Amino acid sequence: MADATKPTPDVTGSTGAARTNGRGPAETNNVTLEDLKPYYGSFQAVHAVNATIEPRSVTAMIGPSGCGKSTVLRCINRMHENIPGARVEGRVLLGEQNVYGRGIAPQTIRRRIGMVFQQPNPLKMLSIAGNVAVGLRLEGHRESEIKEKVEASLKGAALWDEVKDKLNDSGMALSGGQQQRLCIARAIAMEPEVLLLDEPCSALDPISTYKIEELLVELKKRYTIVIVTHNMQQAARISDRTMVFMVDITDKKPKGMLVEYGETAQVFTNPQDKRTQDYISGEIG
Amino acid sequence: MASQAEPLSGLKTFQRRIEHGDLPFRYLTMFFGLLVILLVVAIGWVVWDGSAEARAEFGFGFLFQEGWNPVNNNYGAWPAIYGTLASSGIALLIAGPLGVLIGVFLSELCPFSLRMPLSFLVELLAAIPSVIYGMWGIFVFIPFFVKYIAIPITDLVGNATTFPLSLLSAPQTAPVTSGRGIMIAGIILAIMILPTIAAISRDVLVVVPNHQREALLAVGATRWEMIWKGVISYARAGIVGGMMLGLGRALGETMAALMVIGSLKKTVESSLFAPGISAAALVASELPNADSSLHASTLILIALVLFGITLLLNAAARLLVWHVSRGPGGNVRA
Amino acid sequence: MINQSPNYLRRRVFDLFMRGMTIVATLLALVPLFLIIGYVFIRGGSGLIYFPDEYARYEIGVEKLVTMLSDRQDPQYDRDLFTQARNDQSSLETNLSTTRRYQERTKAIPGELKDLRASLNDVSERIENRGATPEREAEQAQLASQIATLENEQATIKAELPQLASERTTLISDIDELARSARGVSLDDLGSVGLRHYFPFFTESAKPAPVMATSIQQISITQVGGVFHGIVGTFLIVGASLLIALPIGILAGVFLSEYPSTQLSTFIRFSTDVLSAAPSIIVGVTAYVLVVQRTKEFSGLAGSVALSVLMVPVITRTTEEMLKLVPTTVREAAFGLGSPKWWLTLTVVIPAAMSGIVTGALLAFARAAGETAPLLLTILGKNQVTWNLLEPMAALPLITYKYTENPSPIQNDLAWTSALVLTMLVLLVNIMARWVTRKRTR
Ligand SMILES: Nc1ncnc2c1ncn2[C@@H]1O[C@H](COP(=O)(O)OP(=O)(O)OP(=O)(O)O)[C@@H](O)[C@H]1O
Ligand SMILES: [Mg+2]
Repeated sequence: MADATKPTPDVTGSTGAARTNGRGPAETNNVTLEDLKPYYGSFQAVHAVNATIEPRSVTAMIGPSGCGKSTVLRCINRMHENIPGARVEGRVLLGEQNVYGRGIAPQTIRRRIGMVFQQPNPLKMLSIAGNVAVGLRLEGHRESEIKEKVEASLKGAALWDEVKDKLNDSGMALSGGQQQRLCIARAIAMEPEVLLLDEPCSALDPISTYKIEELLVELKKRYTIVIVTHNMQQAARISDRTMVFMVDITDKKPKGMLVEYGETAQVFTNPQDKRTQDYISGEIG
Repeated sequence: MASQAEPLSGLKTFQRRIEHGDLPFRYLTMFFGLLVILLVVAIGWVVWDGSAEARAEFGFGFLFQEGWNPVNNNYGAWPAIYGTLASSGIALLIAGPLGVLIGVFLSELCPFSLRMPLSFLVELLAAIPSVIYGMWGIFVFIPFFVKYIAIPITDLVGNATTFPLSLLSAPQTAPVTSGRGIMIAGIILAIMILPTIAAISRDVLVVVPNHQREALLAVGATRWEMIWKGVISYARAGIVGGMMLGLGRALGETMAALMVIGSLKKTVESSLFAPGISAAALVASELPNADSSLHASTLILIALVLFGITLLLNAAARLLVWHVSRGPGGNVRA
Repeated sequence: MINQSPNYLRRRVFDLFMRGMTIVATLLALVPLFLIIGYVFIRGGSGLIYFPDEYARYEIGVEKLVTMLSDRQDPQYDRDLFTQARNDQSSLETNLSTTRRYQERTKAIPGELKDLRASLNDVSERIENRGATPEREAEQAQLASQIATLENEQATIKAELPQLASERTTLISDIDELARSARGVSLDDLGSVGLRHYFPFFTESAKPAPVMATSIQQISITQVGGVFHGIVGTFLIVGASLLIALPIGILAGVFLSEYPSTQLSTFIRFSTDVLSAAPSIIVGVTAYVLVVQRTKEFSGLAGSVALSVLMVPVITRTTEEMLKLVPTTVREAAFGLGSPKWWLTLTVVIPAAMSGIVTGALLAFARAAGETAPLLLTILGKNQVTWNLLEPMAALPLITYKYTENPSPIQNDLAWTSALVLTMLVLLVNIMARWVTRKRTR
């Protein structure tokens, strides 16, 4: 375990990774959401969101079901536009770079902003090692380098000890919690700058949840992490800052909106917004 | 309570009376189910029993001999077997990849609003009778094919005799301008099975769970990488199954082959531009006029072989398609 | 600025290339398929256009002849023929347009005369009752002269029409002569063009083919015929096979869905799979051996037997699946009332799945209607309409096949049109099947 929590995704050769300095991502870019308005067809799912996400920290998104957390999260790495009819207005800045800028291919963004989904989704046709390596293979790294990175990422995701003897088995043959950590390993193998997690623990038991929380705290030393969660204790435990979303029912069609964003301690102890207060005290949601 | 007893007991007797129907009902439906089995048995028996004379006469060795000539009681079915395999092979070679690409287009790339109508259209195309494909081949495609494909290629290749080139050499038994031949039959069969393969590919591709796509996109895969590694690879068993169903259709197809393959029954020519014959076409064209019982029996034996091959192929294909599309929402094309 | 992996550009180009290729390949692959339908509709459809004017085909025939001659451009031989044909063509056109005008007039004149006579009567009455004024008399005179002119015209037309007709006969035989002396011009071709617009398609059955016609006149409508016999045959044969297959298919489907997990039902399911996988020619062979060889006669019934075997698996499978779709709540509600299974099935389950069963029947119909190979072995074909299923019969797919193989272009035209009818039938039935279940699939 001690070994596992000391990840060293070290690439000294840096042939295939010109962008790393050998100690994880070099950049410490803010992620800025500017007037971000996600649409499903003509339906605007969330009121314009303005927020700046600090680098190398954990930012939690909480709020009742249907308030648009997943939607906003998926807008950050352009996963949103993958849904038929879905589009985005406004801007998302990664440092100075507009993610939705002209001529920017979504895959470059998704490569820099990794994502872990609510349901563990290992690729069915690939082995455990193959799952972790899939992105690197696509980028054409050398096999020796890939092998190192797979090991480092699996260690980083606290999974190495459990799977090191069956790296060639199917990823589907793992437990749910292991699968989810495999997905995290797959995401961090790419050494993204930002890691987005959409309720990564909702399908897991407390022990797996605990392992993943521990992992996130470790990972935030090197990654900017945004996590959607329904579990307020979890948000309180691991996050530095918290976004609270609510459903605005004044419109005919209920829309999500960002009602409060601040330091986690402050949001939970001294919420500025009445709705946040009600939500946290368990009166709504 | 007491007031309800009266009508209830009336209802009971009524129920008892109709409950007697349960067993007869079961036997009735079972009888018709048995009839379905009987149909299969009948087909099997007819082709087995009908081919007894030919089997006793030549065994199965005649399948690999040339020289079909019923007038002299000379039966070598190799041209028919070769023609069937070659034309279906060409059909699969063309329609397999294309059909999968159409399936990919329909399930991944097509604008969302066009997906349903286009898929329906492809399914409609799969329903067009094969005789119409054959007819179109004769009147429209053959003249085009001869002028722009067959003549230039055979001119280029000439009378090459080394193996891969000899397939494209100038035919010996009929001028290339006659147009009919194994190659054209393969192409027409390809056009014919294309909608089938495309529709099945689409079916197995759309049931690939979305999270597999997202898993690849999230590591920075391009759209095509996602399709190739996430979607096609996930559904490959089903795709192969679809191709095998298409191949089965091509093997058993009578009309399209009969109309354009050219009916060269005696020998096998090395060139694919030369005429040939397929098993189904041979049976269809000669059985109604078969004079001797041995002739008829031989034709039925060929039918038996064809039946066996298509059944094996279909069993394998169904297994594959069923294997991937049995998940929720997956439905297997009959 | 954006950090990219070393092969970023290659991947991006490859992605665009493959996606582009997929789209192009799809479009290219669908082109021949739509071409087929387009061809069937255009070439087959031209056979359905009905020209009520019997002489239209001569016009078209001559036009074709003139084009042929001018296309060939044989300087020695064709120049005279060409000028002659052109002259004949224009004479025929003048003749026909005059004739048509005259025919119209012949129809119109009696009415006009009647009107004029009425007004004349009117005027005469007024003169009698109220006395003659100069205006009234002038009007009377004018009307009388108008009537006279019309009567004159009528007489002229009456006299000239037969004259025109005889002129036309001479012209047409002239054209015939021309066509025959123009070497290499196939009269069948001329007739084909002229007659394509002239099939009494749905009412006539086949007529002996004019294998080498010797004059345009000889290729008359009566020699072309239609495919009515095929339409009748297809509906009779497929209808009869539906009668055979529906009870088997539906009841077997009911058995499969109501007693789904017995060993017998597994075996039945396997059998339907075998049946739907069997090439139709095998089914044809079976029907040939069992029916045709036994009865020693090709017959529509043998065809029905073969087609019904092809229908059974389709109907059984759809029935089973549709019955399974009936929600268990519906069954349980009825079970709660204590109804027995058969009563429940007949009164609740089957009605609830009716649209699905209809779909199965329609799909089976569409599949069987287009099958040709089994018919080749069983019904033989016939050139007359017959309503007797125990005789050899015609059917649309068989006609399409036979007329395609026939060397006569006229028969080929018939083949196209019969292909059109067949395609429309199959497509319409498929669309209907889809429409019936649209609520379910949405
Ligand atoms: N694919 C879609 N098409 C149309 N509308 C959608 C789609 N996905 C989500 N929505 C709508 O967008 C709104 C926000 O959905 P979203 O999934 O972002 O909520 P959420 O906060 O993640 O909820 P949960 O906590 O349940 O995951 C909802 O009103 C939902 O109806
Ligand atoms: Mg969500």
